[in-house]
Amino acid sequence: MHEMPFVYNFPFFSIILTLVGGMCLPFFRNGKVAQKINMGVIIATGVMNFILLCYLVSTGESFTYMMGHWPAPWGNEIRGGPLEALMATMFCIVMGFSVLGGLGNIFEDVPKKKQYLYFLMMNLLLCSMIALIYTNDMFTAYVFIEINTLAACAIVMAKEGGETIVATIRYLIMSLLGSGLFLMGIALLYNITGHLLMESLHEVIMEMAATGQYVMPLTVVFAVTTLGLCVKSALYPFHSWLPNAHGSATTSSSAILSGLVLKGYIILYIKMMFRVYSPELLAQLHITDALLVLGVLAMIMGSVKALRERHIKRMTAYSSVAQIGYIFMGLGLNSEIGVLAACFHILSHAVTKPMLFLAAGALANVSHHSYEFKDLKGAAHKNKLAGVAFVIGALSMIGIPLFAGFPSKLYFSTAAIQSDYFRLPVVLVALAVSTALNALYYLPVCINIWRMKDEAHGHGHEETGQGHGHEDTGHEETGVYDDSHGHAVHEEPVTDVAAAAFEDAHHEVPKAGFSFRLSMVAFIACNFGLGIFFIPIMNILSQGIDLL
Amino acid sequence: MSFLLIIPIFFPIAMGLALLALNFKERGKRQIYVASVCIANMIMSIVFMFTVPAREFTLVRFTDTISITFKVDGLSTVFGMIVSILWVVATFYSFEYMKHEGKENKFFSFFTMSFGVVCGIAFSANLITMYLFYELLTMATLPLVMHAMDQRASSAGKKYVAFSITGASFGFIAIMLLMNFGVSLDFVYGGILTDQAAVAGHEVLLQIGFICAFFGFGVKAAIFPFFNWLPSAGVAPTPVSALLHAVAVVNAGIFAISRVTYYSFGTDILRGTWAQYVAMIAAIVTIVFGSSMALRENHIKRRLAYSTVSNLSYMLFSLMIMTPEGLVGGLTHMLFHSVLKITLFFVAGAIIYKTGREYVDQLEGFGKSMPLTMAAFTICSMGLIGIPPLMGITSKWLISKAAVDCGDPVAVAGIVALIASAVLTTLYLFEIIIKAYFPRKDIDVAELNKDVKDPNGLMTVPMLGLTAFSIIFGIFPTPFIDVFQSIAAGLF
Repeated sequence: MHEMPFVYNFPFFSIILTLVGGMCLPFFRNGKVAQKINMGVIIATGVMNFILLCYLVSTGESFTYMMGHWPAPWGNEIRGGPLEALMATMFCIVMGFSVLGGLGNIFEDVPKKKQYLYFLMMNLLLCSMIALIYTNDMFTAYVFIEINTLAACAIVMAKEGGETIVATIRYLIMSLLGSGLFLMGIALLYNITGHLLMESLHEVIMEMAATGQYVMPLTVVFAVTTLGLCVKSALYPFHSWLPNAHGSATTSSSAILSGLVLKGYIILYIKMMFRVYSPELLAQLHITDALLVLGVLAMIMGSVKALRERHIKRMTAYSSVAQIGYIFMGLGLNSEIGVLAACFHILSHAVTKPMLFLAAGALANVSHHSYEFKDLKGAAHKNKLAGVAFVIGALSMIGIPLFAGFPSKLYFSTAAIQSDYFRLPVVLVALAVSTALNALYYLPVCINIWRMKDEAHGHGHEETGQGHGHEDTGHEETGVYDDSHGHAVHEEPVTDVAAAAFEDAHHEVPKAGFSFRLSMVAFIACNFGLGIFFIPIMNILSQGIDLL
Repeated sequence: MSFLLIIPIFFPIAMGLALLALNFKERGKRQIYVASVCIANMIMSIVFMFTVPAREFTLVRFTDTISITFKVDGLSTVFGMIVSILWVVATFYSFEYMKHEGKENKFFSFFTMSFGVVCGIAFSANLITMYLFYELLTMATLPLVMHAMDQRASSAGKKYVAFSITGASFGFIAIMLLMNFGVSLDFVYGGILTDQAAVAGHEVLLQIGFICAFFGFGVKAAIFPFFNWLPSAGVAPTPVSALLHAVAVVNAGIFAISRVTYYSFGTDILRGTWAQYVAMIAAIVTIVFGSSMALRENHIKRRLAYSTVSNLSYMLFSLMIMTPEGLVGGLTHMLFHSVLKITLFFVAGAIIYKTGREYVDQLEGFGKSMPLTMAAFTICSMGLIGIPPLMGITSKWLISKAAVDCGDPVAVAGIVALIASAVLTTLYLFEIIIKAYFPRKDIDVAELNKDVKDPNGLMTVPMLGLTAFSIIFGIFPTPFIDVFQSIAAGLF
């Protein structure tokens, strides 16, 4: 019998290790110990997946791994390839640094007695995401979707307060709706085909498609599973739960939910696109068209909503809605390069968005724990690294060359140009508009957080409404140019500044710890790494997509 | 040796960031620091422009076609020279002017950084590099526009970002199309769409792409209907209006369009098509529109801003003739307009600085009170109108000649627009001059202007120096035109 390489065990080991690592935490009932174990598990998992990635890239193979001794079509299987291994590695890296970056906030926001539970949930979350990435079985996918949902809700609710409870309930309802739809899809599929393993499903579905049987039920199945995963990954218009959940949770939770949890479902969907259905079939049934339309809508509407926000975390959360739109748009382009761009965007968003959330959290820490723009004025001067990281994240989101967002934009545009003349203008224009919108909401925040001390007070009325921009235009057109031009600074009441300075001096500004700095530097490095050396990553991804 | 090229780009950026961190408390020290950085950078950029020509330096290579690469060629030299020299002049002017604006440290940090970013645009060897620095220019100059940080400045800043970034991202569409259908992304005189097999059948798509690029990059050059940000950006301190919104930023738009037209798409695929006419007509409309708006405007800086809108379209019109003569005309007007308009803005700034007056009808009798300032204004206005033998006439002559030579009816219509605009220019500039020298009899000018006098040397020397320059090279423009002609012949 052909000897299986030892590294093929690693996906299974990762899932079991994260699961067991989580289960043993209640024995310690101590947040600090739990955190150390959690970090150890993440590192071990990351290393295993990285080794697997290296092995798979060098051999250029993918594999299916039988769980137990039940062969297909009865047994449960894991399937790994370069795409899965790369994603799993990246998820471990991002998760590790997200936890590190928000450590201070976790210990502050989560009640002491429940801290170990938070890390337990983190372990479960990682476990379920890795399982979603590697699984080759639809029902296993469903089980881990549910685990993922519950763990995600738990880490939202970990920060106690009415706001998070409301957010969690909304999240839970939407999420369960999504997984319910997914379950319906699987049930129907099992009814029609009698299979749950992806390969067997694929065979039967292709046969049915060729013979024209069950066209209507299959369409429904495709639509329902797609819809379920769209709800769970917050594609516009099913995004309503996201800003609340991501905006109110503790910093690390927001970072992980935005950066990773949404992507787990998308990776599962990509695998289903290729391994259960087929891209041609999805295109024939216009499912990709629907994804394209919703993706483009999300890109625009997410940004428009972000533009209206005055709460830095909610703004960043709405920006995620837009970025998820990019990814689905790439999938909707119905070409390999579109999927490639989408996969790369998963990575680039995974290294950028957690950085933005962590930086926003750190900036709020030095601004009396307020996330409102008006309170964040000049916050970056108190935590310079967070300020720099936020600006880098913003530039990456806008898609400036050298940053991680640029290659995505490059590949999305290329994919659009190589598609047909209907998709081409829609996607290119949407990309251009969305770039501009990103700049419009990120740049004012960057300026706001870097304001000098002497201008940080007394302009409170400035950011209160969106409407003033229009009023002001009219004002200028009539030629009324009052004479106080440029003197605003001098007219500020001196006492106000002095009082603020006094207050600042006596308010204890929490220091950013070593773990935060480490995580910021790591994210910045990842960002530049993806932005500059994107060709090797693209090669791995396209190798992985070919093998799907 | 070609790595030297990146020094004029990254030296000011690094020094600007350092200035932000150093945060000098004493004005004198800061002025020495900024002046030495700017002068050193001017010298370096000019020296390197002439010692390392036509050699490339790649900073980062992403793929075979996509890289961050710098190179000097004729067009970069022209743009780089204009910017480097005027930057130093404007630096000295702002030392004095910024005393009343406050937050000087932050201002000079971004002012210095922008210098490097503009050099980056000038020296970029391919479209991706240009796109990078083009976006960075918006971001580096945004704090300068929003300097006052009051409500009006903040909304002007938002408008500036919205227009510029939207424009650049539409320009990016063209870059992507060029990447897919061209042989490379490098700037080659004559264009990169040389692979006939790849281009065949996609001409219309590429022409649409060109229109995206023309209006996208044209946003910075204030093309109609995307001109609105420029008058609003007048809330910025005057050195910014003078240097960035009459020279560096807006010329970056012109520069990008010349790169895209002559060095990327190439004129062959565009000449005689609807794309050329759309672009040309937009430029013609802007010429007349800008001048008319300037005449309506009573605020001096905004009047000059609308005048810039109109003059930038002279250049765009000339470029859109799409013949080598058109390129010569456009470049000549870019040089001359930069010198004249920066001086006019300096005058406006001097008036605001000394008196706080910002409206045209507040200038009664200024000819007597501010003799040097108003003399500079008068001479440069006459240059801009195109009264021989001053600077403006040469460029307008070259543009008109190029339009006639190409024989296109739309181009000939453009000449009519040029003449109409010259009349309007006369009206809106001479209104100021007449008010200054021939005040109304019924007001007591001596009483009204009793505290008004010329500013000190830091302001007058830049104004008068540039005026002298404009007279001398108005009379002897041939050395420049020779250079421009060799660029347009593809030699340099």
